[in-house]
Amino acid sequence: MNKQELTRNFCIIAHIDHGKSTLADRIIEATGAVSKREFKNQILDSMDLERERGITIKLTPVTMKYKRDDKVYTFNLIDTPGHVDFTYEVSRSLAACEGAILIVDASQGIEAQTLTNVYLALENDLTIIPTINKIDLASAQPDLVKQEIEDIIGLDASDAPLISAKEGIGIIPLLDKIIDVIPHPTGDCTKPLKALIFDSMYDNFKGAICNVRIVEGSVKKGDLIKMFSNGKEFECTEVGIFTPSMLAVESLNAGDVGYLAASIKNVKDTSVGDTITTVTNPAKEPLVGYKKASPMVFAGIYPADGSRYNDLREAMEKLNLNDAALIFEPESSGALGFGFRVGFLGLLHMEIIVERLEREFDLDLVTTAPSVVYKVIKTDGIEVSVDNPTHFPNPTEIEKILEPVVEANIYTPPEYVGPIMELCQDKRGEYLNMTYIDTSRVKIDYKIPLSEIIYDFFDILKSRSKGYASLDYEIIGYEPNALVKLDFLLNGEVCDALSLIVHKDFAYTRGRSVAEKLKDAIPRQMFEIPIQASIGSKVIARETVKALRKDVLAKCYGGDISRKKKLLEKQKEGKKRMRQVGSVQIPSEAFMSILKYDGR
Amino acid sequence: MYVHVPFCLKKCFYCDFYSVPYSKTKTQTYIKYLEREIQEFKKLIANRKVNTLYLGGGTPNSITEEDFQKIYQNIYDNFNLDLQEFTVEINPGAGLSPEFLKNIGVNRISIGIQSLNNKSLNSIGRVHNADDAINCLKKYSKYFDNLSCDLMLGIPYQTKGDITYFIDRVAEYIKHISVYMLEVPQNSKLKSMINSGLKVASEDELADLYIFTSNELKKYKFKQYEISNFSLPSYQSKHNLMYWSYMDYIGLGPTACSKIGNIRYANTNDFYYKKEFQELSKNEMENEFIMLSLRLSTGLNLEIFKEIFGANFLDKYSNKLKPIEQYFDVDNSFIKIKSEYLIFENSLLVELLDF
Repeated sequence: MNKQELTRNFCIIAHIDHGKSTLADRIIEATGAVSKREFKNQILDSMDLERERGITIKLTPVTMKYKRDDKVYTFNLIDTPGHVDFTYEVSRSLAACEGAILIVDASQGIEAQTLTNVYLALENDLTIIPTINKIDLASAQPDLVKQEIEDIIGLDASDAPLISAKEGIGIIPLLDKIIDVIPHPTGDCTKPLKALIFDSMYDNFKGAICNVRIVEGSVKKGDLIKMFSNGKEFECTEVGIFTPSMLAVESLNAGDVGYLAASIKNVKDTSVGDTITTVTNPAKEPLVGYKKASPMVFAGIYPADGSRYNDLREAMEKLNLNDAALIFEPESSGALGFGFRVGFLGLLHMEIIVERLEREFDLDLVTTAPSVVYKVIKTDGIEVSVDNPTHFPNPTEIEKILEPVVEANIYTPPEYVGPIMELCQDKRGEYLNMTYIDTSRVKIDYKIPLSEIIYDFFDILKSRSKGYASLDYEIIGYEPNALVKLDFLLNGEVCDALSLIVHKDFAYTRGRSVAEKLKDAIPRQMFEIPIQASIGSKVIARETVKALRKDVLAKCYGGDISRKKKLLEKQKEGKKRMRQVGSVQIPSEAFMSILKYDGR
Repeated sequence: MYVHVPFCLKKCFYCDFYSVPYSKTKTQTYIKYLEREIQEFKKLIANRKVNTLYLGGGTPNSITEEDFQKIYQNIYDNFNLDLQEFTVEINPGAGLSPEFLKNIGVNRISIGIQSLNNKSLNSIGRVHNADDAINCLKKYSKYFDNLSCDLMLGIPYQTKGDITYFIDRVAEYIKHISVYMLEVPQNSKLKSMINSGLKVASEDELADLYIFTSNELKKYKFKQYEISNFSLPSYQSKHNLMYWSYMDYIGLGPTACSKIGNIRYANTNDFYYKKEFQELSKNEMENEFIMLSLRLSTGLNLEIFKEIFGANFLDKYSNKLKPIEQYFDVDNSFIKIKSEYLIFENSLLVELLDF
């Protein structure tokens, strides 16, 4: 048998808490790739954040040896993130495999997210092994789940392995099945190099590192390589495999999964989905499917303490080394000072970035309301893209505003169909279709503006369905709509960081709700502060923060001085977290609080 | 010089000053500690004159005349006393006769009346009632011209009528009044009573009461000279003015503080107290000077500021003053917070100071 015949490249597809990382842990343990001493749960999830949230953000591949009979097989397991924001990353890691283990929770059945990734796997012609996990649970119904797999996906699930990743049940039979069912890689080692980048990361010593699947040809240290997307050339300094720590090897050949380092300074030169070839013997065509990750959601990120702008910049640059999907440029706001306009793949991506910045770089941040990218056709016929409401052209110059719309697929138990449809209608949704997948599951399709999805749609969806409904969406285009820019004035001055784009029918409600929240969030000051919501010059809602009446320490004698000074110091600390809009001071938290879903 | 007398007959519900129940034996220990501390300070201040003496508490008139005499004698024997003002705080209903105090040299009495509404007094745990308070005023006024009393704003059951009544009743006896807006300490008994439903004035109501009170006091020609203090002309408390003008002082007894030059001494919050000290930086001293002197109606003395800190205040703080200048008055040698904005002192200091 040649090396390719002894290799299996596969990934695991699962809904968020169906046990993917736990199964990965068990497989790694079973093959002995990591010693007991080094082992920790969710070993492939390298970030603390991933371990805490139990989700996978960055993909860490691992190469393992598995001995059966007298043959030693090489398993390359590629872990995949499980959220709609990262669909493209998932699709590229799937493209690096020949097979996939589809984990379905024996008590929960198939979830919306699972389906998205299954379809992605089928599109990539992967062989799928449906696997039923958590069979140790009392609520496990493996037969029902098997039926569901056959009904919904159309896969034969009759001999699906029954496992419990948590208890380590059924792992070896699953490994055998991988060998028996998943095809080994093919690909000619003598042809020109075609290596698929399915992930990249930054290493302080080696530069940007590409995680690659060699599709054709081979690559070794010293080869001059070239990126298909931008033509940039580099000298390969190291190739290796993940064990899961990096281990240098002689060469990577067709069928292998590993990494390639070439002193690449910028992680942006290692785009996921790109093809690497060699300069001396280049392939004629790249691998198919390369797509530049494009951010969907934009928001301003500012340091809560304005003096930490430089720290924020350094942190963004460092994060960017490892996250090519992150796009940012400096922006300044009258209210928030200096910060960045940042593009994200979606809301989860945004949440993760903000949390990583705060946690890993000890920053305290203010985030503005996320915005989509609008296309504004001006009266002079010129089209501009606007990702920040502040930069909207003057209403008199606007001919038409187009906004991105998505097809939203919502999966829910039937009892929540009513409230969910109501939600979709409320969010300017246009009904497309509804299918009863089986007696316990309905798929509802709506066309909805993306801006409505990124506001509070997901939170309300979860709350109206008691957490059961799940959501996928895909951008299907741009549509014109009656949108207006809603401004908020504090003591007569526009606070740019609060401006929003809303549908004109929602402007009144939204204006009033934000004004109310601002009223609660802005502390009383020495003068009365009117809060106004306005469209152009028309005020549509008004609230007032009453003037503070006193702020003083009644007693201050010889023994009180230190205490009084401490109180003032504390008050001063609070003031540092305030932003000045004209004469009005706004706590940084106020910008966040107006974004939060308040259950209404 | 301040002497903290840490004994009380009973602790009031709003109080977070250091005090212990009166006991004859504990008083002897306390006096021993004072004697030791007097020797320490004697070395530190050498022969510097002591201009004011203030015995506060606690309840200084909870101890016996004999013990009081001992304490005074010890101070007298060890310091260069040149007293322009000698104040004793007393609470109605406790001891120390006016004759005794007069004979020993006391020339100012501050009486902790707080309220003349018995229901209010009872609710905050005061031991005296309105009659006790008026009797006390009458009794001491026969011996002392310079009487002061405390009025507390915002306590339970208090109405504006109560305040008017209070001022009308006490005005004929007093030359000075301290008006304190109620502050409810975190761990006080009052705090837990409020948590279980007792009503006290809100911050806004306190501000109203404060403005109301200062107007009522004007009727009797009382003039505000500090955030919480009002007096007839020339009856300001010399001792307390000394704190707000950032002069040196020494404090004896548990929790008392001292400032000598750039050193702050603080006694611990403990009957068997120890002394801690801290060296104040130039910047800290400057902040303290500003925050204390702006409490005064006369404000901050620009010349003294220049003398101590070697800078022109108005130049040094011009950027910070600019956005808040409407709250200040400046004349040739003083900058002061306009009287109607004194109750915003903290907000203004936060704009002005860097810590």
